[in-house]
Amino acid sequence: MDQLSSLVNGFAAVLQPEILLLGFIGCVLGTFVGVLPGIGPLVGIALLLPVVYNFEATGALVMLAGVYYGSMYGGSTTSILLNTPGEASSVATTLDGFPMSRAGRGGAALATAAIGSFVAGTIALCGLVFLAPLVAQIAVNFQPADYFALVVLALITVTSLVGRSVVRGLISLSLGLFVGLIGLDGQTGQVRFTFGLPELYGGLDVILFVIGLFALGETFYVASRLRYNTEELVAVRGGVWMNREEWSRSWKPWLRGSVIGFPMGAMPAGGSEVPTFLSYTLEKRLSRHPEQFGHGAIEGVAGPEAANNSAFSGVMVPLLTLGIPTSATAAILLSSFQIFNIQPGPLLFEQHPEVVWSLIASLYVGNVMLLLLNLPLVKLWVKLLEIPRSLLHSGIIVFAMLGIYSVANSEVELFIALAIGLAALVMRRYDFPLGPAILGMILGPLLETYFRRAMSVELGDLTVFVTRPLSLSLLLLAVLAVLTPPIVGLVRRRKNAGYRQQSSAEPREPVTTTEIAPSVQRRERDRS
Amino acid sequence: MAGEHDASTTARTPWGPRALAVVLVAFSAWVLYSALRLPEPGGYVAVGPSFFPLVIGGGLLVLSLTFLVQTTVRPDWYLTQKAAAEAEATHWLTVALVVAALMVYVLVLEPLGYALATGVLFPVLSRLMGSKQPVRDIVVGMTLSTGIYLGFTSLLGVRLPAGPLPW
Repeated sequence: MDQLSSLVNGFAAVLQPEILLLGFIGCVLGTFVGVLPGIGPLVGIALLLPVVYNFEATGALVMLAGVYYGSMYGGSTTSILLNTPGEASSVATTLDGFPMSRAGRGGAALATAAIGSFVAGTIALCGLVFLAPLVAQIAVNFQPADYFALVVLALITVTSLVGRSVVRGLISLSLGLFVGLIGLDGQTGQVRFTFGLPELYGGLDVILFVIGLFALGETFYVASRLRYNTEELVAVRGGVWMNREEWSRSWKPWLRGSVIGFPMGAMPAGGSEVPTFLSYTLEKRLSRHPEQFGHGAIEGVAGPEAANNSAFSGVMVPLLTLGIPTSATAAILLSSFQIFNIQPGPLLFEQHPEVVWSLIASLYVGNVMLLLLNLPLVKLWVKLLEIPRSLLHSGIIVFAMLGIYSVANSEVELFIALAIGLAALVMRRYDFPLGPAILGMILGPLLETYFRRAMSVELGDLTVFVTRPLSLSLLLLAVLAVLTPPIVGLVRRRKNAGYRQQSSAEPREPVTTTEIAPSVQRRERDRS
Repeated sequence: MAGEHDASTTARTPWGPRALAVVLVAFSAWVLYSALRLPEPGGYVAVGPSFFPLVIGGGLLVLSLTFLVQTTVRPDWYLTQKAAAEAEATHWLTVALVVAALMVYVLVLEPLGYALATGVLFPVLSRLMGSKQPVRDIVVGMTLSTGIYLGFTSLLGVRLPAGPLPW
């Protein structure tokens, strides 16, 4: 039980008073950010990163884990009480969470979300502890060509599984890849796409890109339609606790959600949107009262919330063992590791065991801290939502500009961030997903590096990607991932064509399963 | 509202997505053009600096053209609906003013100092986004900006412009 003793050491490193204090601050700040409308874990981590630059690695990582869990939970809070999911992964939570709070059971929905996340975190920790070293051992034999194929697969699957149009997803991804090109080419010293600005020689700062795209883009979007928005905040009535029936209806969905989430997150096609909807669908199928779903069935909150949390721990497997992030949030975590000179990959477990295991321990500590802190404090957080929208969004802009200023070296970079915010506004209006852009920007340089390594090993022989069985199968999977949604759409259209009257206006079906359709209804509601 | 848009109204396609498609096509053409003009380094390099830009620019061009087709010849039903709804709900003037305020903010940040510039920015933004209580906004803004300035400079060691105020 080598892993167990390493894990115990990890916990020993994390359970120091000052580190726990940092974790606590992280949780509080994260929840604060998560409760704010429209911004989630991604922006939370991006805003906090400049602050933790000067910290020592373990403390900083514990704090970031706190921010992550805090903002996830904050996001669940707004999903349940305000019907505004901060991220795609909490869309499923709104479906029954919001009806629950309308029916006066908002407290129970918040409780089942928090406890479910905790249960999922515990189960996923076990998975992570045993799976990660195993994958790391296998990955030691990976060649650059395999890594290249793996990154391609991750980029493609994440892009085609999320959002409703593969083309728009891929455009967003390519724009991100383009941004990743900006700056000095590490190998040849060639300057690329800097628009003659010396500020861009080092590349565009990830934090600037994330904050511009998500925080500024989101507030610009809100500002563009603030006059037409009416939100309904449902007050939390009664205590934040579940009754006996709600407990007995929650525990099975927690376990099932955890079991679904972890492996799905660990696959190269990670992310947590798909597992949350799978869990929702599963609970609906298994329920004896499927008609309650959509009207406040607690299983519909418990399952997806557990799946969401457990999928995130799953995402840590490829992130830590291969250095490949499979979601936008994981991508920003990768950049934060690099700030502390931690290079995730198969050797990480051998070279820096103390960092890995304290990171894993800190994820768990963040999870526990959140349960202890936020459940009692939820009424305080809800107060934040009573702040007038105009002030709230002005505040978000102030903090976004502060975050950008702290990483920017000149006014030019601040203007670039504003331009990125405007671009994000346009992308949001026309239904371009933003996550792939972040992934593309962070994974693009990695892709180029692996490609070059493969080519220099093989002396420029491109066939290496199709002669190695592993890279070939990964690339074939990627091709499959691009082709499946359009083909499924086509087949469905053929099938429907017979009895559909308006053949000119073909509604494009959502890309994964028909059960994802509720998200369409949500977007429709958004607009009206 | 969404229900009112049926087959008859889809004919009225908003111009936004098309304009965006044209911009994207032009942009990817520019990426390709710039990539072609990148000098190849002397000596043997397995993959030169222009290879990835060419692949990305080419891919982007194909995708943008596909998007152009989706907005013109074969309109994407969902996108058309969404764009129409967005066009109805968007108040561009607010966005323009918010961005203008932020541009001025960037320019005066150094001369005025963080606390003062942010203290002014906050009530201006709040006003633009519909707040009707300027006094409250000014008080909140000044408190917030002073708090951030003191907290960040003295506690976290992040440098922020001091401006003329004697801190």
